Amino acid sequence: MDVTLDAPSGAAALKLRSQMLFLNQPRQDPENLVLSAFAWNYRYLHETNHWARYHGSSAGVLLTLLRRSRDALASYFLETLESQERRRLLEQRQSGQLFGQPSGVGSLSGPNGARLEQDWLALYFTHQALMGGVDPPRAGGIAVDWAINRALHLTWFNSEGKGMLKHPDGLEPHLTAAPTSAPSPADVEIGRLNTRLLFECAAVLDETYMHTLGSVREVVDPALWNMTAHTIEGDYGLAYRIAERLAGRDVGAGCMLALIDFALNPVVPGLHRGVAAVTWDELQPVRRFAIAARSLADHSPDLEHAHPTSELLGAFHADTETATGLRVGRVDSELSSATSLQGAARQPVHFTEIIPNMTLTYARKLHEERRATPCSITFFGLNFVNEGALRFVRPETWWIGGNWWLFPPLQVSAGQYHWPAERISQDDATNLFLGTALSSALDDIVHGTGPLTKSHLPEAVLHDTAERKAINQELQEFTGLPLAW
Amino acid sequence: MSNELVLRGEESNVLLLAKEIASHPELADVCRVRIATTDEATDDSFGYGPVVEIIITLSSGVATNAAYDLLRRLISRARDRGDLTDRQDKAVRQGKNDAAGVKAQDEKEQQ
Repeated sequence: MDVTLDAPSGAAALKLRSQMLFLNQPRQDPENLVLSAFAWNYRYLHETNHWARYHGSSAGVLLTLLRRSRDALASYFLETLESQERRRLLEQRQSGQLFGQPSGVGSLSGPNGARLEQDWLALYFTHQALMGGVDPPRAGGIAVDWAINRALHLTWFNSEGKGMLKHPDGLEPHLTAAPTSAPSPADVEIGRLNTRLLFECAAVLDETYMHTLGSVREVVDPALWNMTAHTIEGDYGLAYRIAERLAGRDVGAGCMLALIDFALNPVVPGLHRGVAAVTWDELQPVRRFAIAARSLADHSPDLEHAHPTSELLGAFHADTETATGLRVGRVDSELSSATSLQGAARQPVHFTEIIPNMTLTYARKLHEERRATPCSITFFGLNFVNEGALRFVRPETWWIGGNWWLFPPLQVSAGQYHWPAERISQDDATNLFLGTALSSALDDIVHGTGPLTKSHLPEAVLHDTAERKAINQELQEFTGLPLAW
Repeated sequence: MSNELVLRGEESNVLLLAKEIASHPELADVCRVRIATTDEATDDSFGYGPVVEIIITLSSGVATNAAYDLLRRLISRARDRGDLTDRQDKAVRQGKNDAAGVKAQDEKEQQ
């Protein structure tokens, strides 16, 4: 059931599928204005935190490029189908056949279709495995190592000069078969931890800066502190509890944020110059996190006892690299040739590239920020206390003075689609909407069986008869299939 | 006959509301609170927190006494802390659910 459309959820969320921030405006007539304003700000900070950490990390950029390759491949697959095969695709969807199943939709267009199907599955699986936990999910009948190597190859091959470095001859990206040192789910209660929960833990920890530092703590309602405390006690604090168990001692919040940042920034072939071979321990964020947390049993970084600075973070990275043998990744490639949202929205590209162009333009700025001030993304919450908090006062206009890249540009409020009208035209906004709607439908089309999902899109647009008709027409031209929202 | 109010929101906010209701003995006699989990969390979405539902069952006649005002204030304060949406299930849209009636009354009182 599509819960969000039928009943708008009470939760704020950054939907990775559409790259849209779902956040309703603060209450019109609050019982307590200060409480309402701060509660809204906390949500905005929390979701912005995800945006900056995701696009500002090497793992996030790899995930964006894996998704772009997957969508391009799905779109190409649909283009290659003859009209008879299109009909069979629809029939197979209706009968519940997925990619990767015997006589699934891929095999309907012969050996070429079957090869595209395997490649799509490799890209899909690797994305899931990077967002997952210490143990990779089941690869649907294909060998795990093959799938990851194939996905790394396809992504680099497709992204060469378009987000990734030039692909040198004889330097094929691959996993090396180093013996694993990450704890297995049997070692500790680590089976439930996944990459999403690393992001959530960091975002909740950053809220605590609001509570404990700066002038805000004087006026903040204790109810908000109670809510944050409750959230840390739940799944959002799981990473913290696991890290302390692995380290065998209490770990400071600053150190925990540095651990998460370390986990989210692996060396990635195609992004990090001179690297083609990695181990799965080195690439997968939760495995990195667990190995680095365990190394804290033997040393106590200065970062734990002092206000975080870029120097202390640099020392933490160096110590952790020595202790674990895992490297800290960086992005050496040019992620985008655009330097603004408008520039990204106006690049003439395929529908599957519109949103990656947008997010890579933001990622480019975020990685510049990371290079200039390493602390600013690792300890993101510190940007919002004391003088830095000024950029929080009017986030919708703060970009005029800079820092627009810290905030997700496309928003959904009360089901309505919003975009920064000062920076892009309505045509640009429509282009971005079509990019996100059409590319996010591809997973449903090739790997789903039911109606197209829509909880990641603004419901008002799809409820408007004229707009829905126009969007469905674009979808049908794009896919060549009589599908509609 | 009883009235049921179903609100959906972030777990931390909803549980705090439940705790606040429980801390008022005058509400204990007239309303019952239940929490239900939802299946909204997905791996491709970063949320502010898990989403749950609170089901508040009111005894009949509550709307006219002070306990109702207190409950309404607690809910209003919870709405300040974060969005609480009334569950729009089929029954509500068809006007068959008591929760819809409670909500209409709530809005009327605020005017």
